[in-house]
Amino acid sequence: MSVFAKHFKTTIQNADGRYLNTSELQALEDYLSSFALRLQTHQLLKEQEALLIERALARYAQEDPHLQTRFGPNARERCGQDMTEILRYCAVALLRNDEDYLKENLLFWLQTVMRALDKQDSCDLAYRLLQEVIQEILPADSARLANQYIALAQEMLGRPS
Amino acid sequence: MNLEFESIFDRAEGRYLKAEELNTLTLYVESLPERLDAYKRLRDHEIEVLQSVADQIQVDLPNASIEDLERAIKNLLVVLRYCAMAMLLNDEVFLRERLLGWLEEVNRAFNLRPINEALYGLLSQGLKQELSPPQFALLCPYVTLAQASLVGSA
Repeated sequence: MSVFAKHFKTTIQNADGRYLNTSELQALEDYLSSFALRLQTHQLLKEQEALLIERALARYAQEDPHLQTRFGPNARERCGQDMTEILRYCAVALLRNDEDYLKENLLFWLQTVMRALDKQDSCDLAYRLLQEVIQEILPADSARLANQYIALAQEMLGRPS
Repeated sequence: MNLEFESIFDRAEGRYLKAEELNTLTLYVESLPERLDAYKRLRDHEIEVLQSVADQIQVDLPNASIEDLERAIKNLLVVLRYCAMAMLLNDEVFLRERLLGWLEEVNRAFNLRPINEALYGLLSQGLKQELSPPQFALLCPYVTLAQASLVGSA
């Protein structure tokens, strides 16, 4: 949790008129000590975005060559757009240390869309591959942090309805 | 979350943060250790600070009623806690909207302005003794804001 996280608002509201206790402050201190990694990871995702998406899409095409047959000629492009969007929201969420931000601002909505279009299998594969690629391209500690959030996307978008 | 940070994240919806936005967050996070130290110091020494203020105010204002003094000191305690939180969060709006709005009314109703005037002077002295100069500098704007609201407004 951090001061930037949605959840922290609840902590503050509950603290009305008293001081935060040691464990509530510990959450801030933990954030403080992880901030450099969060900042670095945010910047790496920004710099490497094009490469990450391109490589994940290429790998996707190998594993699921019939994507366009099933979902139309723009399917690859749309898949790339969705992945890019997920990556950007993950980059902001990890900076905030805030999984709720990712869920509430993107995943709940996108989950409904993907279920309506029956694309859970594609999502499951796409976000598994994106994690693989992130692990190959980013330094280990940044990859671990970023993939915590991509895994959440995979779980929510890839899960059968 | 303070308004500046909130608006940074609102504007960044669906994109990466710009260099200057990251810089604003970084500056705040870098100031957090000092803010946390100041916050803990206030929390752990609240009684000493307020006790010395309470002892001195009775000397300085011998004619004030005990009831009014008690009420004003209780309010001061709440103000100090909110100031500490606002300092930790770097968030003036938190102090103004969550506390000062209604506390101003209470102070006016009980006519605590003259007592507050003396109390805030004593509080400031007490805080200067308890906090390091950089910590006092972090807290000072919030105490000044409360003072302006509870003493400055007749």
